[in-house]
Parts: sequence; C-alpha cells; structure tokens
Amino acid sequence: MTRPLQKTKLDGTHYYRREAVEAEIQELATISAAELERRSALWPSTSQGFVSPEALVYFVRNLPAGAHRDKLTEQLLGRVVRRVPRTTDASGHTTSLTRMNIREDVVDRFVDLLLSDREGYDDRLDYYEVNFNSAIARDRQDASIRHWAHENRSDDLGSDEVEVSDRVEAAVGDCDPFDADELDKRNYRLQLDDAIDSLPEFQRRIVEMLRQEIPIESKDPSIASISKVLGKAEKTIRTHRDKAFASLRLRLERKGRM
Amino acid sequence: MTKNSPITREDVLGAFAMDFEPGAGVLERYLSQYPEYSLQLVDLSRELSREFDDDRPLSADDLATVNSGMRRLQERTATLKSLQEAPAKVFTDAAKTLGLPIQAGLALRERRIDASTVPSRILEKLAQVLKTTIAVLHSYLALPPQVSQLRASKSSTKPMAAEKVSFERVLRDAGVDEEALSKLLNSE
Repeated sequence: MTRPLQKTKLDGTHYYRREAVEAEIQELATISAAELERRSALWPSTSQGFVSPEALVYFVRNLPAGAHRDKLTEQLLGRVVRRVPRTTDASGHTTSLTRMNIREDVVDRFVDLLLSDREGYDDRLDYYEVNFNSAIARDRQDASIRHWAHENRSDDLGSDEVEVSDRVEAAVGDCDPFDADELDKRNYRLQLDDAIDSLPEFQRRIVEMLRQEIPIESKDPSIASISKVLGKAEKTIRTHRDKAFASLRLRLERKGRM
Repeated sequence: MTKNSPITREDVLGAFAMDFEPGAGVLERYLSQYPEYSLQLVDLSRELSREFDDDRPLSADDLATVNSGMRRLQERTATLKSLQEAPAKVFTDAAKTLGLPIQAGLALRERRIDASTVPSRILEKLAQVLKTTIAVLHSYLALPPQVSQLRASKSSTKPMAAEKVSFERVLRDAGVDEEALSKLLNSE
C-alpha cells in the first residue's frame, strides 16, 4: 500500500497518483535496491525498465536516509535538470546566463522541497508524484518570472491602428506554424519552441493562446478571449498575431524546416 | 488547503498544471474561472507545452548542478538556532540511536553535559545523527545549562540551578552499569 497523497485539489478532494504510477510503485517495491538503482538510471523514457520520475519521487520521499536513497535522489535531480532548457550550445558554451539562473533556481527549489519534506511532510511535493513534468514546468515559470523581470521584455505595441506591412503580409502568406503535419515531427516542435521563445512577450502570449484554441474575440462575456486577457482590441491582436507568425516562419525557414 | 480556506494563486496554478492537456480546453476553462490569474495561466500554459530533447546527454554543467544539489541535501546541517528550537525527541532519539539512555538525551538537550568529558567518537556520532557539525554541537553544549521547565514544574522541590556535569556522571545517574559505562567511555 503506497502512502496516499495529502495535497487537496481546488474542490477539496485529495490528489492521487495515476494508476500506472501506483502499479509501477508496487512493482518496483518488490525488486532489490541494486536493481532499483540500476533501473532509475535508465534513460531515455523509452528504455525497457525505465522508472517514471513520479515513482522516483515516491521512493526518494519514503526511503530511509542512506546510500540507497542518495543514489535515487541523484537520479531524480538529473531528471529535474533534464526538464530545464539547456544553457549551453553543442560546443558546451553558455548561451544564456538567465537560463542558467533559471536552472539553478528550479533545482534549488526542488532541493528545498525535499529538505522540507524530510523535516515533516510537505504536501507541495505531492504535485511531483501526480505529474512530475508539469510540476517542474511550474517551477520553471516561477523562476522565469524572477529572472526575466530583470531584462527588458516589454513591447512597444504602438497604437491599435498599427497596419501590417506588406512585407509581413507576404511573409505570413498561407503559413501556419502550427500545421498538424509539421507538429508531428519532434525536431520541428523543438525548433518551434525556440522560435516562440524569441518572440516578444505580448506576441508569445497570443501565440500560446491560439495554440490552446482561445478565440481572439468573443461576444459572450463569460468566454475567455485573447482580446480580453491581453486588454487590447481585436485588430491589435490580429496585427501582432501576423507579426508573430511572420517571425516564426522566418526563423524556422532559417533553420531550413519550412 | 481545505474546502473552507480561500483559494490562492498557488492553488490555482498548481491545479492548472496538474489538469493541463494541450488543446483540451483546459486553459479556456481556467481563464474563464480565474480571470484574475489569466496572464500567469497563459505563461504557465506555455511552459507546460514546452518540448524537451530527451536524446541530449547531461552536460558537464548539468552534472555540476546535480552535484551541488546533492551536496546541499547531504550537508544539510542543523544550526545552533535550529538545535535550540528542536524538540526533546530529536535528542532522545539521537541518544537511542547511539545506545545511550534517554536521560543522556535530555541532558544533552539541556546542555547539562560538559562537552570536554564526552568521548570524541560519541560526539562525532551525535553530530552525525543530529545532522550537524561537531563545531555546532560544541557551541550548542557550551551554551548555559538549562533546567527543563516541564520537569521543574512537576518537581515537588525547588529546582536547583542547572549545572554542567561530566558525561560519566549523567550515565551513572541514569543507571548505566559499570560494564556498559566502560564500553561507552573507553572504546575510542
């Protein structure tokens, strides 16, 4: 019987691990310490015998202190690091100090939680047993807010009457950076992510909402729209959407993908 | 959080992160229900959608970050302050781990033991079990001795001023026999 989670959802009910994770924990509890250590080190996730990060968090939280727990913890910290955008290029040179700070922050926060959990149950760690990658995504966001705030990320939106230049119109054309066929390709998605990162914050938010199928405008006040969330007229949103798409296309073209 | 406590930004963003599925209308639902956090929700949606290259090996920098995290976890040291605030159980548990009587644990907590009379091997083990350094343990034991308020209030006689005594005296008072005493004090 695995220890139940204590964190509660917005409706007051408890979070629980996914069934697959529960089954995985049950299975891993029957193998030897050495075998668990071996399997925890397996990577990538498609490897036979791979241990999910959620199960790894469970064992790290529940094992007694000692060398075995330390070995699993080391693997777990490796999983955390893998969920933070890389800070170096292929030749090992640091490409972004801000990204480096974000990585340090995310790992530090996770270590803080582990330490706090060892002092007495810290239900914030429960999130990592429910969905590890999403929990780390939250930490990335928190760290990003702290670090990017120091950089000038604000955008001069100009007036709502901004016209899309002919060049932008031409660049946009029929281009859809979120073309389903392209999105099936992992390399494309990675490059698209990089391209979205390079957009100004305002455009990045428009692009993200479009990806999540939020309408630009909505007549129904109870339905969220991009225009409402960003507090700008529909026309401004469309203008910046087009600019964003043009930038994405140019960037992806440079990478020879489109 | 319970049903009655107010819903915080942390709760909403945490729940959104757990519920999120790309393109499943989760963002729309949260934006409608929690418009006050809309920008944070959009930015979090962006992070939740991020792709990672699983094929890349951990770089030297990545490994250094992991090692530094491990050091923080392993070298987690109790400070002088945290030892002063620690409940009696922390000390009695430590005593138990070392095979010492519970009275020795309490005497440690109340700094009634003269640190110079404790064999260094025992001090080392104590520091380890208390998750602190020998230096911090020495500083802690050097603080003025304390009379347990609980036990003083239960006593029918007026409590004596606390004083530091030898480790041997504490063990003898606790009823440790000669053989065990000799083992504890001499097997350096």
